[in-house]
Amino acid sequence: MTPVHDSGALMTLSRVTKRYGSTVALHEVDIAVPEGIMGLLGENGAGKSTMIKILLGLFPPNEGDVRVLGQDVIRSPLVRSRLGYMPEHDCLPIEAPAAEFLCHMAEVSGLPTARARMRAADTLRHVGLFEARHRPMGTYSTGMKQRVKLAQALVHDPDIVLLDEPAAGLDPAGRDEMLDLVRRTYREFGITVVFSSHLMSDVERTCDRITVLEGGQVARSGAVADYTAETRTLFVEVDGNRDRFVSALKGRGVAVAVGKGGVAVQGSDTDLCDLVRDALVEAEAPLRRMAPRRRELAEIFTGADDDRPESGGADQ
Amino acid sequence: MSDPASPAAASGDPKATGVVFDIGYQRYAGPREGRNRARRAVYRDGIRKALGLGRGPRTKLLPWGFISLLVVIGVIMAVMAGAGQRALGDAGANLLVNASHRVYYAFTITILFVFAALVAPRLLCPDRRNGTLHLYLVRPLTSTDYLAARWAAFLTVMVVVSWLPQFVLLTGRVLGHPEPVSYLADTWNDIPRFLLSGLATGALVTTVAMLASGLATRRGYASVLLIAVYLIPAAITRPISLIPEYQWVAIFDLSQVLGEMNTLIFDGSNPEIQGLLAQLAEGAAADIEPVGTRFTRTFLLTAYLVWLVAPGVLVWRYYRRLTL
Repeated sequence: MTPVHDSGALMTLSRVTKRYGSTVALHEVDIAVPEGIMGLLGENGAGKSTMIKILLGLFPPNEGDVRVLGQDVIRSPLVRSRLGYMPEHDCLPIEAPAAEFLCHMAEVSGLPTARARMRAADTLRHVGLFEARHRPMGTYSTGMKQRVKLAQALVHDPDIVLLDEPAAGLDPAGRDEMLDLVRRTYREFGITVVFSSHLMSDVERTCDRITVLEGGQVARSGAVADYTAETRTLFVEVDGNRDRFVSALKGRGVAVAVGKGGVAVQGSDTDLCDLVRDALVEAEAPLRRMAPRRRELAEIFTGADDDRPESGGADQ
Repeated sequence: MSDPASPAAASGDPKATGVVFDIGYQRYAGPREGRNRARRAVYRDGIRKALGLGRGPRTKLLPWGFISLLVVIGVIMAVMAGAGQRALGDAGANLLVNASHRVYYAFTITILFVFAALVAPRLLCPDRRNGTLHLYLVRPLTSTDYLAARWAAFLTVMVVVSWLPQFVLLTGRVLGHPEPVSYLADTWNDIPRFLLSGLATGALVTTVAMLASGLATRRGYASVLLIAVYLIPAAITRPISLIPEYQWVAIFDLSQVLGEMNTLIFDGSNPEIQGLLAQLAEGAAADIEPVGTRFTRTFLLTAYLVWLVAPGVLVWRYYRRLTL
């Protein structure tokens, strides 16, 4: 059973301030990490890494209180046996086989040798490296190394895993696979994930909640679904007569934006679908697809008005 | 999944068919043994790294080459001692062959140090260079635990490497003697002496080696730094320490400190040995340089402890400051 804080959060930072000399890395940050996948967004220098180090108990904050699984992580390093961490940078001994390395890391997390060996093999199977587990890691591709990095964070079955840019340096296919693994980490394995990234698309695809750090302070925090709710804009794709279709829509007083992939249509009343249907009939345009358009996180943080059709807005 | 076309399935015996289930991810509900398990794991890994266990022949070549060399020296000295004892008797062998446990250390101290310079960096440098140290420090293990476990691992290796040839030498001397039992009864106190001397040498060399390995990220740099620490002060202080008023500068020379400690432990001023020398030299004993240490016991032990503690504190403070 995972111990939780009084508020139900697994990790909490309460009015945490961290300074490096005269530089303030974090300023009175309040964050609660509940079960699920939380994205930590921010530009370089926003304080993401400092926050992760504080959550891992590597150094204390100058002010404020940090609780991890209900304990003071600085005074109780043992709580780190319940945490996993996947760094962004290289951290693998290239001469060691993955199975041996994971077994060692599991033992360093406190597991007995025989159990550590079993967990290493199981974890490598879950990340898709079972067949390659006895090869030296120096022979692995970038994607395989990223998987081993995730596996070493999971091998001791932590309650919470902190991932620092897990998809960094991967090609699109590798990125998809890694993000899928991150989703499975919570949805199948039941391990809460704190996911640090500067790519909004990754966070949007993966996380349940987001916290945005700017200049060492929390700029926004909340559920991803709240930010990416359906808008009043319809996205329509047609197989032909698109110009006539757009004219027909404009003739009905509907705001239209033509994008590369289709047409974004904004209406203020509930009859928008009927208006689109009538315009399609008038223009004799075959309908390929019609769907409500969702906001993207990037629009929220760049201040774009999501309900207004725009040329790029139709690019889903 | 069972294969319907398999002979077992075709036989109709349900017990003969195998079914593989994907039981999915299993949460770990077993024991978690905390920091002690973590320390033991790092200690064991340190020994494996030092000796190249579980790695290819190239990784094993260096440590096992040195260990073989030291054992061969022990074997040669054992043969010489045995042959000397038979040909010249105890007294003649002690004077002319002098293949004793004390002489073995005096002869091999440089080899032991080079072994440490080449092998000790394996325990610390790659962890920092590859970034693996970060993975240790986010587990239930402090930087002090990590360093202490690595230090203990290399100390174990150094001590075993120091003691092993001594046991070979002891075996050779005992078996080479015409009366092995009485020889062993007469010289049994050499055993705790060479054990203690090996421990003292191993502890100091390990600590200095940990400092150099902790400061450098590349193994080669650490090795060069260690050999420099061994050779450069020796080159400077040896001529100076020949002047009686400046003998104390020898404490900056690691090899001299280790040599003097070795002499102190083996108690070269033992009246029996001095008496034997006098008896054999028939009045010329005064011309023979006393075997005893040049320093007082307190001064030498203080110098040794400074060499032992100071590098340890430096590397410990350095690792305490390390973060991700």
